Amino acid sequence: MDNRRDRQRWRRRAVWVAGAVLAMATFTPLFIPSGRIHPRFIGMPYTLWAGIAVAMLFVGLTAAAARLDSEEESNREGGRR
Amino acid sequence: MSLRTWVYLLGGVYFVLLALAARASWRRHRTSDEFMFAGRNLGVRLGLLTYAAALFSAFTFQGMPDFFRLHGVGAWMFLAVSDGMMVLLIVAFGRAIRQRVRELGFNGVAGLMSSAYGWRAAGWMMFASSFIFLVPYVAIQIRGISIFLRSAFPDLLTPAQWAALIVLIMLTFSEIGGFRAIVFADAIQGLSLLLILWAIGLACVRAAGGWAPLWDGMLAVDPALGSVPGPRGLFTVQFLLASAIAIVMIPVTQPQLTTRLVVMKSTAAMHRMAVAVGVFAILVIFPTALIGALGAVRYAGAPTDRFLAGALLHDRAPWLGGLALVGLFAAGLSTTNAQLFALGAELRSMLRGTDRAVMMATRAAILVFALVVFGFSVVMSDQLVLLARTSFTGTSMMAPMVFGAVALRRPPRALAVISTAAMLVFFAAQLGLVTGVVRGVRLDLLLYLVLAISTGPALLLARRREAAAGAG
Repeated sequence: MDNRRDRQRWRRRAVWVAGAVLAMATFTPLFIPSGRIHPRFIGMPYTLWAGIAVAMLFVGLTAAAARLDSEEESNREGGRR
Repeated sequence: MSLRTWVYLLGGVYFVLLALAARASWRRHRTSDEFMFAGRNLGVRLGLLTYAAALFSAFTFQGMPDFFRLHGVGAWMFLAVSDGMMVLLIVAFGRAIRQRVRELGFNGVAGLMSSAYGWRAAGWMMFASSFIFLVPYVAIQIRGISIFLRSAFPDLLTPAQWAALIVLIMLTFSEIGGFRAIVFADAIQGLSLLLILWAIGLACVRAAGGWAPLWDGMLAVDPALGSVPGPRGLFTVQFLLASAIAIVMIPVTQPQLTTRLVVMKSTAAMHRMAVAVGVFAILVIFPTALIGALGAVRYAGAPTDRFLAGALLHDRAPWLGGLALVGLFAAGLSTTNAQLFALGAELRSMLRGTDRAVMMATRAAILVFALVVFGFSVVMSDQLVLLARTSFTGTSMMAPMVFGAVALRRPPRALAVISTAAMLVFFAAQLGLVTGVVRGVRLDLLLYLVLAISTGPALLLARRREAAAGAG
C-alpha cells in the first residue's frame, strides 16, 4: 500500500517537474529562436509548429496531473472507509 | 441571399435561443445562490463551454487574427502556449480552492478573501483590483464589437449606439436569467466560436490556394512574420514571459473564471474540464493563425477595422459573413456578461443584510457597472489584445494574496497588502505616473519578481509551519 502511494507521489512530482522544465524551456531559443523559420513542417514556420507541440504537451501533462490527482483522491476516500 | 439577410436570419435564431435560455433559467432560479452560482452543480460539458466562452471572446475572434497578421507566429506562443500552462495550473489550484471553499463557504472571491484573512479590507482590495481592471476589459469587448458592427453596417448605427444596444441586451438577459442563463449563452457561444473560426480559417486556406501556399505567401510578404520577435519586435522573451505569467494567473485572479472552477459539481469534473479547455484553446486559436496569415498577404499595411471587415465578412460567402457577425456578437455578449456578473457577485460577497436586500443592491450595482463600462467603451483605443493583456496583468498582481488565502489557514495580512501595492504600482504605470520600464526590464516582469521574492518564501514557510503544527 505504502509502495503504491510512494509510486503515485513520485509520478505526481514527475508530472509537475516536467511541467516546470517545459515552461522554462518555452522561453529559450529551443522553442523561440530569434529570426529562424526553419525547419518548416508542412509549410509552417518552426516557432509555430514547435509551439503547437508545446501546447499539446502541456495539455497532455494536464491530463496526467488530473488523473493522478483523481486517483489520489479516490485512494484517500478508500482509506477513510 | 445577401449578407444583411443572413445576419437578420442568424441573429433572429440567436436571440430566440437566448430568450429560451433566459426563460428556462428564470423558472429555475429560486434562491440568490441559484441566481448567482447556478446551484454549483455544473457538469463537464457546460463547465467547459462556460469557462471557454468566458476566456475566449471578441479578443480571440478579432484580436488574435489581427495579432497574427501584424506580429506573426509568435502570437501562438503568446496565447496558446500560455493557455496550456494555465490549464495545468487549474488542476492544482482548482482542487485547493475547492477544498478551501468547503471549509469557508463561497459567495465570491472577494468574500472568500475576507473570510480567509479574517479582515474585510482584504475582500475590498480584491474587489478593487477586479473593478479597476475588469471594467476596461469589458469595455474593450464592447468597443471591438461596436467598431465591427459599424464597419459592417455603416448606415445603421454609430459605434456608441451599438455599444448602448449591447449593454442593454446584456443587462436584460443577466437580470432575467442570472448565472445559469449566462452559462447557457456561453455554451451557445463556445460552440459557435469554434465552428465559425474553423469555417473562416479553412476558407482562408482555400483562398490562399492551399496549406503550403498560405505560409509561403505570408513569409514572402515579410519573413519576420515567421519567427519571434516579429516584424515590430513585440514578442521579446520579456514580453512573452510576462504575458505567460499574466495568462496563467487568470483562473487565480479573475473572479469570473475562479467562480467557474468553484461551481463545478465535483473536483473530478473540474479536472476533466481543465483538460478539455486545453484542447479547446488549441482548436480555437489555430484558425486565427490561418486568418492572420492570409491577412498578412491581402491586408498588409491596412488598418485593423478594414482587415477585419474584409477577412471576416466581405471576402467570405454571405452565409459565412453573417455567421461571423452573429458569432462575434455572441462572443462579446457572453464574455462581457460573465465579467459584469462576476463584478456583481464580488460586490455581493462583501455586502451584509437580508438575502433580498443584498440581491437588490447587487442588481443595482450591475446596472451601475454596465453604465461605467458603456462610458469607457466610447472613449477607448482599438488595441484589443494589448488592452486585454493589461487587464490580465493588473489582476494577476493579486495572485500572492489568493494563494495565501487558499494554501494557509491563517494567511498573514502582509500578503494582501503587498499584492495590492503591486497592483496599484502597475495601475499607476498605466496612467503614466510611473515608468513602464526600469533599467531595461519591463515593469510587470519586475513586479512579478518582487512579488515572488517577497511573498514566495514566506508562503512556503508558513505552509510548512502549519503542516508541522497540524501533524503535531
